[in-house]
Amino acid sequence: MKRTMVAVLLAGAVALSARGGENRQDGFPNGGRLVYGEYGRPATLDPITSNDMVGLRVTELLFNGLVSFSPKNEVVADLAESWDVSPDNRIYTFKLRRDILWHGSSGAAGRRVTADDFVGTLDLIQHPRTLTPLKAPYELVADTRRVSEDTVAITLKRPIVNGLGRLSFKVVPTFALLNPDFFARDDPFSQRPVGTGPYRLREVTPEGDVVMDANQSYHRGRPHIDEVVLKPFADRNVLTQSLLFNSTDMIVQLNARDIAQVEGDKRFNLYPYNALSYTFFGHNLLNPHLRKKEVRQAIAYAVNRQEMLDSFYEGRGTVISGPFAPGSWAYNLDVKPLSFDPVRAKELLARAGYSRSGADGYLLTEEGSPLEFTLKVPIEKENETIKRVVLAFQNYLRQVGVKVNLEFREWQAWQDDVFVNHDFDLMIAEWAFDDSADISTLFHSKETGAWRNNFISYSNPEVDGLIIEAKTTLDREKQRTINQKLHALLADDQPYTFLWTVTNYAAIHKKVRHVDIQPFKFFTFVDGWYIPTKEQAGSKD
Amino acid sequence: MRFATTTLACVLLLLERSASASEPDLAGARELFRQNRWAEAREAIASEMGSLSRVDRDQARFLLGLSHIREAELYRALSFLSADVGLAYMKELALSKERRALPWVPLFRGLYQLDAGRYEEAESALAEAALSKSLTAEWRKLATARRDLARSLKGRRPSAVVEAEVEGVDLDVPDVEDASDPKKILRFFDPLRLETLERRAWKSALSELSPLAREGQGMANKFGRFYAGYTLFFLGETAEAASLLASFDLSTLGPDYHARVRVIKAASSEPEDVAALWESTRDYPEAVLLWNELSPGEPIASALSERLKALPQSFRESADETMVGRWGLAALSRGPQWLESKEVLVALSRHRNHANKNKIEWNDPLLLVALAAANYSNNDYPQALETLFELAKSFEGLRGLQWNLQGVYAARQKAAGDARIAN
Repeated sequence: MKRTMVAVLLAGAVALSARGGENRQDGFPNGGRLVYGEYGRPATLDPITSNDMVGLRVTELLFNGLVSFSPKNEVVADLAESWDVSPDNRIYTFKLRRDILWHGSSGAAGRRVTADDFVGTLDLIQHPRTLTPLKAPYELVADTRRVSEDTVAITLKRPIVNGLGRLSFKVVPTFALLNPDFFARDDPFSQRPVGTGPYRLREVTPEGDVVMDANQSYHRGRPHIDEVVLKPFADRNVLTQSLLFNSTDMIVQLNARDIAQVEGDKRFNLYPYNALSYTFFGHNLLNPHLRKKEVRQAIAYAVNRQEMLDSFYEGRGTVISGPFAPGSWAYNLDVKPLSFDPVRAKELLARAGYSRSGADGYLLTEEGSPLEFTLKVPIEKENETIKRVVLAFQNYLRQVGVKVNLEFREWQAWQDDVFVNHDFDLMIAEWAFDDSADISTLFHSKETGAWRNNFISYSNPEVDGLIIEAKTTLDREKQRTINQKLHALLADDQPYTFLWTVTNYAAIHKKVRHVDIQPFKFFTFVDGWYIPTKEQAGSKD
Repeated sequence: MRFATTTLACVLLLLERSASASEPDLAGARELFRQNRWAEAREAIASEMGSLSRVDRDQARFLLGLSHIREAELYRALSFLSADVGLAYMKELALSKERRALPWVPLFRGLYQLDAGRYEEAESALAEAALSKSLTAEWRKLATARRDLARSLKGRRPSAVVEAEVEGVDLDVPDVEDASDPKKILRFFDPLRLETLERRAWKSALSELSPLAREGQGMANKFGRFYAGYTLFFLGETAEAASLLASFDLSTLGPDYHARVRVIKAASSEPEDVAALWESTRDYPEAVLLWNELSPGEPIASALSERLKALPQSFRESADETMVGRWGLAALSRGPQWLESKEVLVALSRHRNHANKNKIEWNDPLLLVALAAANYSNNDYPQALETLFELAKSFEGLRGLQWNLQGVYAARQKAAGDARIAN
């Protein structure tokens, strides 16, 4: 007998009464404009090829999935109104709402979302020619079937923990793509997306502003705020100044150094959230020197991470010991960060075969050339903090005889180097995770290839085995034990030099009310935000 | 560095002014105390004690006493959160048929229920554990002793730790790691550890403050007496507290202290006119929080509930953060029907130093625990864990709470499995 799950509607009861196109019943006014600043611009605006956090947040404004999450992290109905799960937990049958329309746009105006769209989306994700970070999470979908116009059945290869949450992927109109079978990154759809979300794209300006209008037909009720604009900034300092000088109303991730200044400004509210993120140096294991564990460990011992955190982030963060943030359930509290120990670093390098130095003080390889690496740094235009971090890193490594050449690259070019061409020795970046603590795409040996997350080409059979066990078990305590082991293994193996997690704060003008933030996707509840009528006037241009 | 104009800060200032001119030796300790680095403050004092003058020694003792009080209050707050989280984790474990069969689950569930004051449930769970053939004789004996303790406490209010002290029951419970399945390692920690640390801290406070109350001079004597009485109140020695404060000369302390003394005395013997006592003390937030400890009946209960709910509106930006934290915990303990945990979180967050979010040098540790508890109540487990991670760097005994909270989070999270590069 099938288990029938009654759809859990969003807390607040607005969704219970609102139908597509109706005003929300919460008594809050419509109107106003919200301009938010981001450091960097999204590479793509679609949910299939997008692989960075700026892109993820925009797609949360433009798209929906079968299910979503409540402010208390419960799975709730979104485009599906109800679902059944088979007794073996493999077949999920979703009954769709009948009032979901694609954003009015060329050829799609007024067109209803149907089961075909979900079948098409999953087929697209799984197509070998689609380059997407979603490949790995959805490899477990065995079949997607249109049962009727409004019913779609998704069969998994095996039951998994959080099956319902996993099926929260965003649906796209495959009929609107150049090629409905697979998604190429140069498909115009990636820059002119059509979704079902609370906001629809109006335009991307020559300056890169992404201007979005409220979706009047939104199934949960028209969002209150009329217009949302993403303004990208290439300079973190200017980003903060834009807030203080009223060019923007919100910064999604306030620079840690600026928190004190904004905290003292009565015009803004600060919202802490935990994106379970951490910063790291990645080591390209295709480099024969970095393939040696002693070299990677030496790099970790050579670097005084606490000093860097104190100096460049004013101590506003925590040094970490492994592949999870301290706020994660998977963080192994028994594993301590490697200490700052340049003597140990030199010992390890010597053990790895690097004991001779050249005239310039740098260690020499067997071939007689300096032991040197190129560190590729993503930087739009100006990021003082990152510059200081990498300069300090370069200096620390110089002290132990390792040469580091810094190469600053614009964000898109950096992504190509790292994710596509693997053209780097070292890189620096920050990962953010949802609550699942799923690091499989980062470290499993099969997750290599263009736009896959294991861009360092890490391969460790023991880690592979543990990752597979974690993915296939339904036992959460077993997942916990496995993740603790992974933490200890990776802390020892150092595929990354694990650095720190910094304080996440959004700064939002007080005129924006009823703010709820989803820590990973950020804008999940934006449709409920509002601006009081008397504070709506005024342009931000 | 932002400091609230706290009651304690005023106390310290008063003591500074009244001290002799030469007391550079305590300046460092005072600074450490202000930064909430209480153990380090005590070490700094200990190293100087032998060379201090009489007056300076009084000040030093007072600082020692206060540092223990702060620690006691912190552990009290942690204990409150720990009981909640521990029970939630045991409940999650018991959902699995396989883990229900483990002897540790009913045993530790019973111990957490004992800690939470749920004595009837504790007796039942511990009785089950006491009969478990999967436990060694030593563990069965422990379960039996705890079952008897729970039975004796049914229908009464004292804490298990207090009663155990009275009855001479040894409360030490070794930590357990169950690796019977090496792929599923479970850990169980002593549920009463934090409450035991709390009791120890209160007693340490008393050992420093009692001599001051007896023999101290000037302001040190007055504050020593007040805080000794305050400590006795929280140790459950209400009669002794009342006796110590009976002839308390309040003329040099403020009305806030006066109000608290009167409420503390009321704990020992109900005053003739409770309503009048309430009316004359309700304007003092610290006194209101003490009333909450007494859990009075009507007609005070309703008025207390209203007053507690309205308290945050009267907290200035410079309000005592310890007091704000205590309010938060009092609010959370009354449950979401009384006040939504989100509203508690918003009220507490106003007093947080966001630029130094979880640093104890910038935020009162008890306020941080209240924030962690509010985050937990709002299912924001990452934030709670992050705060506890920082607190654990400075205070012992948190590992069990952290482990259990990670377990609750792991059991309840429903995420898709996504990871993204941040720009």
